[in-house]
Amino acid sequence: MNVPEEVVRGIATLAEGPLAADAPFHGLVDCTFAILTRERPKECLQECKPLLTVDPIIVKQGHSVLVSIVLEAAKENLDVSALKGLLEDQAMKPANVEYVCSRYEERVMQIRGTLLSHSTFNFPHIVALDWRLDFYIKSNSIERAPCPVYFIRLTTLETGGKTGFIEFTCSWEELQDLLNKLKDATKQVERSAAAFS
Amino acid sequence: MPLVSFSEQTKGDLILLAQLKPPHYKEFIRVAVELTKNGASPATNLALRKAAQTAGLADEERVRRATDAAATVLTECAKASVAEADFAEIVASVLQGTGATGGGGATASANAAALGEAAVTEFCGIMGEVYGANKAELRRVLGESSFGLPKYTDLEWRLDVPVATRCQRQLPVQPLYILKLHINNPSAPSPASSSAAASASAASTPSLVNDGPIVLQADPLTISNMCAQLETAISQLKASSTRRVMRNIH
Repeated sequence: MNVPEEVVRGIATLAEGPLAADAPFHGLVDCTFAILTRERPKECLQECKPLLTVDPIIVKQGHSVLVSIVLEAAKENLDVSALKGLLEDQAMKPANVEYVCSRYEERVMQIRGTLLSHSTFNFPHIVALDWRLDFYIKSNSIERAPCPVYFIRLTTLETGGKTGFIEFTCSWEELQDLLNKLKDATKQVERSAAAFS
Repeated sequence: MPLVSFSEQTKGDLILLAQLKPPHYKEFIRVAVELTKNGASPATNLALRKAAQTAGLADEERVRRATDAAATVLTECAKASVAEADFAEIVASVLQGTGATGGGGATASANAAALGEAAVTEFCGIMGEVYGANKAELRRVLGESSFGLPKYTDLEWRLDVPVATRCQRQLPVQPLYILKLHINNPSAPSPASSSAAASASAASTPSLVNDGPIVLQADPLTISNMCAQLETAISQLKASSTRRVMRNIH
């Protein structure tokens, strides 16, 4: 597992000292995982009862070490054994190692699905398409035979949750062209799926 | 019979134009067409002054009004897409003081009485010729002066499968379409002036349509939903309710 030196050294705060005791350790691990899966806000660490007896700086250090290790393991989608190996190498109590690993196994998919997959950039993602058919009859400068015009609006979602719109017009022929291109694109997925299976 | 109406001033000015000699008003009409198609320029101003000199008109105001009247009649009829035969009739009715939309004012009918039948016919003939020759061009210019809306030109697509990111390795296989949408936006601000305008308007409208192609992404499921929506949209044009509306507008 690719973890920086200072994090490996920092595991000592979890292996020895006030955090190694059962109640504070369990409290710290539970809070950390709850924060990573967004079940509880960051402040829950200060409100956690068993941790109130421990020096806040040590709590912070322990928390940041745990977060680094868990996120690194989740990023690489590592097996529990890798995490176990790393913690045992730093002389952590076997019971504590077991506790961390079982929590990791329960939560890794959730962490990957929610926190990590949203920590990347994307192009605006199309979520909806609305259309409208109008007849253009006349304007202030010219009158003409009614010609149909389509108004298309694409709703997009950007990283950060902002909604955007893309609006454009097209004629019947252009819309037909757009549809043919999209149909061709959908067929490609089926062809590729068939090729891979 | 399409309704084309002119103000009393225009009618009066047209009658005054028709009272000049044929070679003179021909020149004024030609300059009027030039002005409508290409706008004012040193060349047209010079031509106008020359025409005024040849016609012996010293009054600049009168020259300007005569040219304006000819231009107005031509553009209004082009705007309404009046047929050539109808155009000649409209001009004749203006000159004879009857007018397409009712009688002219006292001055107009007094001036109209001064024009003979032959003069009216000759003037209408010349105007009709000019109208016929330039109608398509005039309609094109008028059409361009209306505002344009963003118009679809092209769509390019690409199928990708994200494999890894900085924060995540071994991503689950989820195909993703990357789309490049080309839109022609005639009212998009130019890049030089866009910074101030963009920051002012960004708060109000979250539109992403600017100059240049737009890159988007979509799931395969979204793309098939979009196809279904567009198929419905396309089929609506041939629907009976739409045909009924089209028939009634015509």
